[in-house]
Amino acid sequence: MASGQTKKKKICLNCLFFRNDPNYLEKEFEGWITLGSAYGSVRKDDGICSRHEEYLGAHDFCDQFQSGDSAT
Amino acid sequence: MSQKQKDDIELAKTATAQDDEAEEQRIKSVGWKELYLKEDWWAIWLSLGLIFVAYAFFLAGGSIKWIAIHPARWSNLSQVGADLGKHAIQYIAQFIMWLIVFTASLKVMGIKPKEFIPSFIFVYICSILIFIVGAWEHAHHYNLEPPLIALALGMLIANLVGLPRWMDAGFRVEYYIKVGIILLGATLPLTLIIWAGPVAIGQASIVAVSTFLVIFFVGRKLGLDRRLCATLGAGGAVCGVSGSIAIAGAVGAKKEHAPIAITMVILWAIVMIFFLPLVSRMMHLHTGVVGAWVGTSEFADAAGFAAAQAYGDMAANVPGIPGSPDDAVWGFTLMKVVGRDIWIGIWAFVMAIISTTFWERKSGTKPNPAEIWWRFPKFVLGFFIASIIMTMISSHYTLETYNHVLKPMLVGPIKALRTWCFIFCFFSIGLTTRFRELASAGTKPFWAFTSGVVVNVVLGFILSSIVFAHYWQNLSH
Repeated sequence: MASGQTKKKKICLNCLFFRNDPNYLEKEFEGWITLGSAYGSVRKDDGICSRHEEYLGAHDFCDQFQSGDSAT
Repeated sequence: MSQKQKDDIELAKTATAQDDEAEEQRIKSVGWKELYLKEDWWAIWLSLGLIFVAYAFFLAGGSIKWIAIHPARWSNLSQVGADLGKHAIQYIAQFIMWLIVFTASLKVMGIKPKEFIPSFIFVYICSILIFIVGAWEHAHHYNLEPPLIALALGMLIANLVGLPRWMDAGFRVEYYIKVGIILLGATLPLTLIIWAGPVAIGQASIVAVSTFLVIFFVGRKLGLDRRLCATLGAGGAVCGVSGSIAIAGAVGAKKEHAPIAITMVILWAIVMIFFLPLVSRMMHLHTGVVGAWVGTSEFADAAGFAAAQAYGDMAANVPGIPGSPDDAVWGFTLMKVVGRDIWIGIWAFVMAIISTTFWERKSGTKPNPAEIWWRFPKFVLGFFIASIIMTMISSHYTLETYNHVLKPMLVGPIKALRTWCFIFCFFSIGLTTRFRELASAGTKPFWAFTSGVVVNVVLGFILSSIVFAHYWQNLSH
C-alpha cells in the first residue's frame, strides 16, 4: 500500500478478481441490454468475481481476497 | 505469504495480462457519483430539462411543438413525401437535439460517441420509417401498430441480417424507456397516481409474491440451485432482467445464473408483447384493464410499454374496444412502475438477508438497509416529479383552457417526444434480441419460470378484469 493512502477494505470492490465495469458486464451477460441495462441504479456496483465465477455485491468479501494493487 | 496465495496472485496476474482492458473492468464504488454515472439520473436530468424548456416556451407565448414533429396520418405515398419535405428542417433539428443530449450523457457514463453516433443515426432514420408505417390510415387493419412494427423490424434485422456489435452502443433500450416514462409522468395527473396507486400496489404485491414463490419452489422441486431459483423468481415477479440481476447480486448467484434468467425473461416478454394485446383485442377488453393486466403480467418495463401502447393504438382504430389509448398506458404505468418497480430494493435487501442468514454462502456481507435506497430505480422519482410539476401547472387553468391551450401547446409536444423515445426503445429491443446468442437455459429453469408465467398471467387477468376492474375502467374519470 502506497504511503499516504488509507488502507483499503478487503472487499470485492478492491479485489483483483472483481470486475464491475458496466460495459464489460453487458458484454459478458448476453441479452442483458435487450430488456435491461448495466448502467441502471438497481445494479448498484455489483460485478463478477472471476475467481469464484459468481456475481456479487461490491461490498461482499471472502477469505481469498487479493488486493487490486498486487498485479500493478 | 503461503504458496496458495502466491498462486492466486499469479493466476490473477495471468488473467490481467491476457486482457488489456482488465483494469477498466473494475470501477470504484459508485455511491453518490450515480448522479452522473447512472442512466436513471441522466434520464431525470434530460426529461425534466425538456419539461422545463417546454414550459419556458409556453410561458413566453410559444411552444416546442415545432421540434416535437412526427409524421402525419396519410393514405397515399405522395402525402408522405410532401409531409417529409415540408417538415425536413424540423426533423433534422429534432434529430440534432436527441443526438446532443444522448451523446453527451452517454459519454459521461462511459459509452463511446464514435460508436453511439452512427448507431443512433440508424435508429432515428428507421424510427421515422416506423412512425410513417404506423401513421398509414389502414395500418390497424393489419395490426401494424408502431410498437409491434418496431419490434418485429428490429428482430428481423438482428436475426436475419445481423449488425456489428459496436452498434449496441446506440440501442440503449433502458435509457430510452426511462426518459419516455418520466416524460409520461408529465401527462399523468398526480391525483390519478394517488387514487389508483394503492390499488396498483395491492394488486402487484399479490401477483409478485405469488409468482416468485411458485417459480422458487417449482425450481427447488426440480433440483435447481436456490440462488438460481431466486434469480428466476425475481425476473418473473419483480421487474424482469433488472430484477433478476439485482437479486443475483444480492444472493451471490453463480455467474451462469443471470444469463439463464435473462434468456427466460426475454423469451416470455417477447411472447407477451404480442400475446396480451391480441388476446385482449379478441375479448374487446377495456384499455385500462389491459394496461393493468400488462403491467401485472409483462416482465419488463420496455416490453410492457410496447404491449400497452400497441393495445392503445388498436383501441384508437378498432371499433368495439372500450376506453382510450391513454388508459392503456396509464394503467400499465401505474401497475408496473408504481406497483412493482419501486420495490426492487426491498426485494434485494430481503433476499440478501435470507441468503446470508439461512443459505451457505462462501462470500457475503451483512445486508445494509441503505441497499434499499441504492437499488431504488431512481427514474421513478423523475416520473413522480414530472407528474407533480405538470399537475401544479395545470391547476391554474380551467378544463376548457387546458384542452384548448395547455394540451396542444405544452402537453401534446411532450407526449410526442415521449412517443419518439418509446419507438427508439421498441426498435432497440428488436435489434438486441439475438436469439442464437441467448444462453441455453435448460429445461428445468424453463419449466420453473413458465409455471410462474402461467400463474402470473391468469392471476393478473382475474385481478385486472374482475376484482379491480372498476378502478382500471375509470382511470380517465
